[in-house]
Parts: sequence; C-alpha cells; structure tokens
Amino acid sequence: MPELIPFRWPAEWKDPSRLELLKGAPINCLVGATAPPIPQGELPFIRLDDKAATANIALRDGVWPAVQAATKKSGAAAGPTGDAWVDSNAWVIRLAHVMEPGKPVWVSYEAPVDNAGLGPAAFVKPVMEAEAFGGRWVMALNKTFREGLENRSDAAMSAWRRMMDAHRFFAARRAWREWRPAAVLGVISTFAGEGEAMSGEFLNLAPRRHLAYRAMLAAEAAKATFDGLKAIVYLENEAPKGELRDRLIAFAKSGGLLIGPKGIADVAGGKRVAEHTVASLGAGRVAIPLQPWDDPFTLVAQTHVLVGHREDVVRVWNASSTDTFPQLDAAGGKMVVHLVPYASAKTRSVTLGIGQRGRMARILRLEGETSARLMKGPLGIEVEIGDLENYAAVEVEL
Amino acid sequence: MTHIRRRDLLGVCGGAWLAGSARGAAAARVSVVRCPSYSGDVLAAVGGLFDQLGGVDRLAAGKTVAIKIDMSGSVRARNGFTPAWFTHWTHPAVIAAVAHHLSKAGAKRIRILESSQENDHPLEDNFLLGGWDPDQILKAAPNVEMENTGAMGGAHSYARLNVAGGGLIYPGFDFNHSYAECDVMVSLAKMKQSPDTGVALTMKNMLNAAPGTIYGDAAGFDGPSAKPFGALSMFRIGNRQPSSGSPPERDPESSRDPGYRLPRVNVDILRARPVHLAIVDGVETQTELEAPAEEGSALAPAHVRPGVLMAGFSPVSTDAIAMQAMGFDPMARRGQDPFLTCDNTLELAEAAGLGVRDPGKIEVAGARVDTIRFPFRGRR
Repeated sequence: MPELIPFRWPAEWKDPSRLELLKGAPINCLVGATAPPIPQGELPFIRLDDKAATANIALRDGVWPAVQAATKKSGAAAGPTGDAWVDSNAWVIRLAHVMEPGKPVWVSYEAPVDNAGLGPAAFVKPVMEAEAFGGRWVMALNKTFREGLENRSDAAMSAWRRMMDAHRFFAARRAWREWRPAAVLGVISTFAGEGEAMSGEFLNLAPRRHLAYRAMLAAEAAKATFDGLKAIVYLENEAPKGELRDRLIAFAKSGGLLIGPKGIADVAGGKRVAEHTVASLGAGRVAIPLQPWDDPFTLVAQTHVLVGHREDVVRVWNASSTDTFPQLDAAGGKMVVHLVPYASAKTRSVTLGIGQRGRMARILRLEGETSARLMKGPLGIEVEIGDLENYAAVEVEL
Repeated sequence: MTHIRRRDLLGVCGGAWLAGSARGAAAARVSVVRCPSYSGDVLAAVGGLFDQLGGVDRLAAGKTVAIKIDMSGSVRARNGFTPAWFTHWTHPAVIAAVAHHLSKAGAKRIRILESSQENDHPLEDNFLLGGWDPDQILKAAPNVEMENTGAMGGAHSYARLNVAGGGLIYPGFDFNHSYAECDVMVSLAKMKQSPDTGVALTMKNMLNAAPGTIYGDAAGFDGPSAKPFGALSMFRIGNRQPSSGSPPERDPESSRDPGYRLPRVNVDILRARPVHLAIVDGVETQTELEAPAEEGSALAPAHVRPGVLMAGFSPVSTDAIAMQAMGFDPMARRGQDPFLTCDNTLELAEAAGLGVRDPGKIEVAGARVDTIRFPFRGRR
C-alpha cells in the first residue's frame, strides 16, 4: 500500500471540477472535519478527529515553520541571547517516531491566521520541512492560496506544482526514511509528565545548534543500543533506578559522558564545567548540574559544551535559524545531512562541515542535484552549498 | 572587584619599564616581513619578524604572556565561503607561530585570549565552531592556554583596570582576570579597515577585549550578566552605562557620536591595559569591514592577500606602518580617508603618550613599506 499523502480539502470547494487540481498529483488522500460534498472517486477520506481512522498514524499538532521576531515571545521564551525564535516541527516529528515506531508521522496545522498575506510560495517549505525530518504535513491552504488556485494564478499554480514536486523528491529517496540518526548524544526521557516541556524543548533546540542527537524513551532505554554515542543526557528530575541506571553507569565507565541529575551515579569530587560538576567514572565521566535544570536553552548550550564541539557531526556556516538532521545508512558508508532554513529570506553562501572524511558528495535540492566539491578542512570535510531557500540535503559517501 | 594597583603603574608608564632599555630604544621600530601564504613557512616568517625587532627574549623571558587575538563577529559567519581565518580572524598558523617563538624566548605561560560577543564557551570550542582544531595552537609550545574573556571565565571576579590620567571617556574598566594576570600583553590583530574607526589594527583589537557581560548589548544592569551577548554598542553610541559596580562614563553628557567615542574609548583601554608587543597579520584579509557583511549591506568585503606580517613594541607605531602599507596616511585628520567620519585613534593615542605615529620618525626593519604597499581602497 502506498504511503498516504494527505490534503485538507477546502470547505469552500463544493464543485467537483476542483478535483482536476489533483490529476497527476501525488496526493492520494483527503482529510478534514467532514467529507467533501463531491464524489471523490478512489480517493479515501480521513477524519482527523476520528481516532479509529487515524489509529495507524502518529498524528501531531504542528506549527507553521518560520522565524518569529523575538519580541513576539517573552524574553524567557526567546532564550537569553535574544536569538530569533524559530517555530519548527523537527522535534515533534522525530519524537513521534520514537514514541510510535513504525507509524507514518503526520503534522497538522494551518497557515497563521494573522498572516493572511502569506503568499503561495511560502507553502513549499512546510512540505519540505516535514519530509526532511521523516514526517508529512497535512497540506492545508489559506484563503490567498485557495483563491489563487481557483483563479489559476501563476503564483498559486507554480507553488502548487512545487509542493507536488517536493513530495515526488522525497518519494524518490524513500530509503532515507530507514536511515538512522547520526548522533553523538543520546537523549533519554519519558518525554511526559513534569519534565515534558524541558525534554521537548531540548529536542527542539538541539538541531539549531547542530548538536546531533538520538532520542530514547526512558522505559525502553535499558534495552536500547548506545552504539556510536559519545554522551547521554538523562532528562528527568530524578535519577533512574535499576537496570537503566546500571546501563548508564556502564556506559560512562566504558568511556562515555553521562549527564544527569544528582544521584545518577555515585561519584565524588570533580571540576566545574558549564554549570555542572564533572567527575571521572572508570574510563568516562559523569556530569551533574550544580543546580536543578530549569532552562532548556541554557541546558542545550551547556550540554553541547560538556560533549565538546570537537565531537560535532556537522558544522554549518552562514545559516542561522537553520536546523540540521544528519542520518547514516545501515552500513554506515553514507551520510545525508538535511538542512532546513526557517528564515523567510534566502540564506546565502552556506557551507556545511562534516566531522569526518568523505570521498564524494552531492547536493540535492528540489531544483536538481549537483555534485559537490569536497574540501578538506582541519576538522573533516567542507561542502559549499550556496544559497538555501526551503531545503537542501548533502549526501556524502564516507 | 579586584583592584590591581600594578595596572595603575602599567598605565602610567605605558609599559615601558617592562622590557627595559631594549624596548625603550626600539619602541619606534616596526618590523616587516613578507609572508605570501599561510601554507608557507609562517614559523620562520614570525621568527624573522621578531629577530628584526632585536628579539623578544627580554620581553618574554620568565613572564606570563597574554595574546589577544582577533575573532570578531559570529563564530558561524563567513565572508562568502571563505573561512574566517583567511578574511577577518587572526590565522591560527600565525597564532601558533607567535606562541612558539614567545615560548622559545622563555615565556613562562602563554594565554590566548578573545572576548566572544555571543557565548561563554571555552575559547577552544569557538575555534572548533569556526572550523579549526585548537590543538595546533595549544601544542605550539608548552604551557599554552586559552580563555574566552567575554565573561568572567575561570576567576571569581572581574579585574579593575584603571585608566592612567583619568581617561577620556571612562576612568576604568572591569575586564576578565587574564588581562590583569599577565606581565606582557600582545595584541595580535588582522589587517583590516573599519567603517567606525577607519582601520582595525592592533589598537582596535584591544577594544574588543571588553567583556560583553558588562559592556555588551545584553549586559546586566544590576551587575554583569552571566553570559555575553551582543555588540559593544555602549562604547559606540553611549546608549547606556556599564553594569552597576563597573566604572561609568566620566561625562554622560559628552558626545554620543561613534566617531568621537570609539577612538577615545580605545585609547582609554590602551592606557588601562597597555600593549607591549603589537603584531599585524596581513597575510590574507578582507577589505571594507571587520566582519562579514550583513544581509543587505552596501559594503562588500573582498578577500585580499597583502602577504605581509608586521610587529613592533608600540601599537601606535605598528598601526601607523600598517596603515601606510594599506595605502592610508596615519597623519590624516578627521574627514580625510580613512577617517572620514571619525577622529584618528592614532593621533589621540600619540597625544596620550602611547607611541609615535609619524612614519618619518619610525624605523622600519625588513621589507620597505613602498615594496609591500597594498592599497585597500578600490579592491573588489
């Protein structure tokens, strides 16, 4: 059965001729609150509020992916640096894969109502953002876009075609969905309860710093693989007990860095680094916060320093407000790095650094694919990506 | 606050006591060597640079040496695709070579310093973020350390550096402890222009030593913030005073014109924290700006290769010769290129007794200036 590609049918479209829009398009499923008052042919309809109908889908609420001015949020929400606030669905999608493995992940949201002037071209990014992180946007139009399609305006039709091309682009590279996150940091949490906001925001902010992570549920982490990880952060207020604690301690003793709340390991002494006490344990280290964690922005930055930028899987230059997601194929011979910029303007002259050697690379965009010149840098390889609008991927043979 | 009285003495003497007669006699000598690229023998070039000064043994032997490098701008920003080391940051090969030779000259301890305006990471991490392995520098000599001086760093307080003579704008500054806990201060700058101050050389480099926690845009009001963030706008436009507890401006009613303020604040910093050895990395650099252009900027920096290194015991004299090499007149007044909208920092520094700026009174050792001249204006 093909993967479903959903489209929220506009309630205003009651004329069957509107279905012409879907001819040749990869859309194969309509969604909404009520079924369209038109014959749908073979197109299935799914009510998103019908739990039985969506039982096999990891359905999440999403946000319109964009940079917001920091002033729209409180100072605390925007982070202490005054950096631009980014609304991203990356962490929601990646966490949904962990919480409900094996299910397709859909994120559902509509364009912000206070931005009615949002042009059709802006609707390409939501498609690409969701697909880049292994999810799918439940495509929905705003009034401007819908009317543009009704009138078959060039801008609307062009944007629509690009949205469909975006789906085809990722369908042609479906293998990426099976690739694993290339990570140096394991993030373990229940991702629920008291610590949900902290752990969720940690996952939200880590890719903006290009801190490559792999999330694991606390209930399953004792049996999970820690292969390839240099560090693990246990994001709960209370230290784990039993088998998981034993495993985490073993991870540290074998050379890893374990970051967790007081009591996560019995260590004494240590030195102060990034507001944590870092003590040796076997061949590795344990970092315990001086004060209980309370700010995810600060914690992500501290964690990155504790892990060390030397361990960075990727580095990116000239691409602020951009999330990265590096993945490795099963054999570990290929890496793909997805880059999603959230700024509305083009991000210029972007360079990607990868912290290991590579043999060849290609840059993939919606507009086409080009081979990339690999430059040897002091810390691995660098690839000149160029301008970044909605999305680019760099696939490297290691 | 720790009040370091030794700094008062340093300020009054301009540091001249430090190297004894060798420094006094050679203060107006500037050494110039060609160095066509960073992939060449930079170590030998820096060795030659110091030899032409008469050596740095008497300056460094047995001393703690602080080297303020230039990593201005965001660590994740580049001028186009060119790594920052080639355009607006001091190149690590030059930093390593300077550390090596100072160690060879007997330096007891060498601290590489830079004040980040965006984070309180260890400086080593900012090298990594920039794309360079700091080990090249840390292993250039024994006892090399790094510190991000944008915040308090490894100390429990900031160090008070008082301006000799009271100061033009500020009577004193609170800086990271590393600027007080050193016997020898080296300013290792990139050869650059600046829209604000005409040129950005070894003197301007020291202005950016100020901690953003006290002088940055996100500095605390009741006291220093925990982390630095943002430009040093209060130096530029005087929009506010430093964090409470740090010395405020002498006259808050004085001009808020950046062209008036920045040169004077720079001179105040140099009188509070004198530079004993000034070095200019002009091997490769960029024109127009000190950092990459922001989106929409009318200025477009060009990556250029003057292929030169310079050093002197006086930052004023060193900057004067560097300006000549860049095609500018260090004697120019406000309104004349490159000081189109600002006062001439060299003129103010000379008046403050920090060194000689008249090229006619400076002995150039090594390559003649007319043979290495590389006009910055009009480069694209």
